[in-house]
Amino acid sequence: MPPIIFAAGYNLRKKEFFDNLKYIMLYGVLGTFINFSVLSVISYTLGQTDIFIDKNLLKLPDYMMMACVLASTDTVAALTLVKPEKYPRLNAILFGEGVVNDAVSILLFNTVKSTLTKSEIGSEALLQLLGNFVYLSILSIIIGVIFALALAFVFKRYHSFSEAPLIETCLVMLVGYSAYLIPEILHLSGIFLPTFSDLAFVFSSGIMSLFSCGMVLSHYAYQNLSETSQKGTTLTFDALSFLSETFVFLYLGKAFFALIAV
Amino acid sequence: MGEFPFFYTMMMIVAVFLARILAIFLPPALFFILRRREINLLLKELKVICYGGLVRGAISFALAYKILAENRENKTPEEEKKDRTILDVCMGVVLFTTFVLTIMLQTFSSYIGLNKDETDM
Repeated sequence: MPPIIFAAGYNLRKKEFFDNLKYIMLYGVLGTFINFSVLSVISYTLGQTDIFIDKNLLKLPDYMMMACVLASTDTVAALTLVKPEKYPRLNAILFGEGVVNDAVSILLFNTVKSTLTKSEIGSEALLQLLGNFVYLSILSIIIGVIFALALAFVFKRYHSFSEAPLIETCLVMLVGYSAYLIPEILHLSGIFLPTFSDLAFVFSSGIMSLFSCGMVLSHYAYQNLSETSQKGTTLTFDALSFLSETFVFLYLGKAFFALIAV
Repeated sequence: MGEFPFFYTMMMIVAVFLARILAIFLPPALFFILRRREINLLLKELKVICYGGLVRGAISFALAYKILAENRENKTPEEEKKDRTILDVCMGVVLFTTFVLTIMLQTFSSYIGLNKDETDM
């Protein structure tokens, strides 16, 4: 999954994105939360009726996990319909909503997973969930921005990099990867969670920092890359993201036929 | 197919539709009731956004697969069955939305009237 998010951040059309930020945030963040809550309630009530599925099979945390999983959307198909030249605003909103939704749903998934497996469910746990979510998103965005700015500074300071497009492309990729890796490692050891440390969460929020890292990189570092690398990075990340998505669908097909065969 | 929770998956597909419609139309409705003019989207645009986000794709399935695959060797059979059920439901929803809704895309666009001048192509 990381390549998909990084490419989305890196190849974002920033002007349109920020022009429509209001709607994108409204639907990407609030919409995902509404989606998640409605789906948890419906799946739980349906499960409790005992008609469609064995009542004792799944517990509330499992239903919430399922709702999380089902709250992430895929707007690619609709984007082919809405041409950016004809409907610039609609295209930007759809694309931005999809990207923000991806990041938010993955973050929500991780938060729900680590909050619910560790404690009993109640209003307190829900509040904690929300608090963790906000805290983690802000923290990881800051980490991503720092990484991207550091690389942008290096490229600006040392122009000799532009003679080696290979190194440039790899550096951009590796910085993106570390922006993903570092939060994961830090949260594992609980350094960045002083307020919640008594609950010993195992967090991974690399996704958000990856997205912001890609976005800042394309804004500040992109201008200092050589022309070859500018084209190269864009194409590479697009290809990587497309490939990862294809592999996920390959798994889907495999799982489907495994299910039929059983 | 054995234990595949078929009806439950179907109900969840309906639930996904419902949740999406609520998520898209609830905030503008609230703003409208409160008489704040901060949302300037046409109803047509809302419909397109609503439809576009109905499809569940790679991320959804990858997350469900992650639940199953993680820490698999230390799981009791019950836990394994739970995670298997989540994956099954998710797979059903992803397959349905991806195939059916993508095929319906053309129908939807002519219904909304998005590509009117491109019909002669």
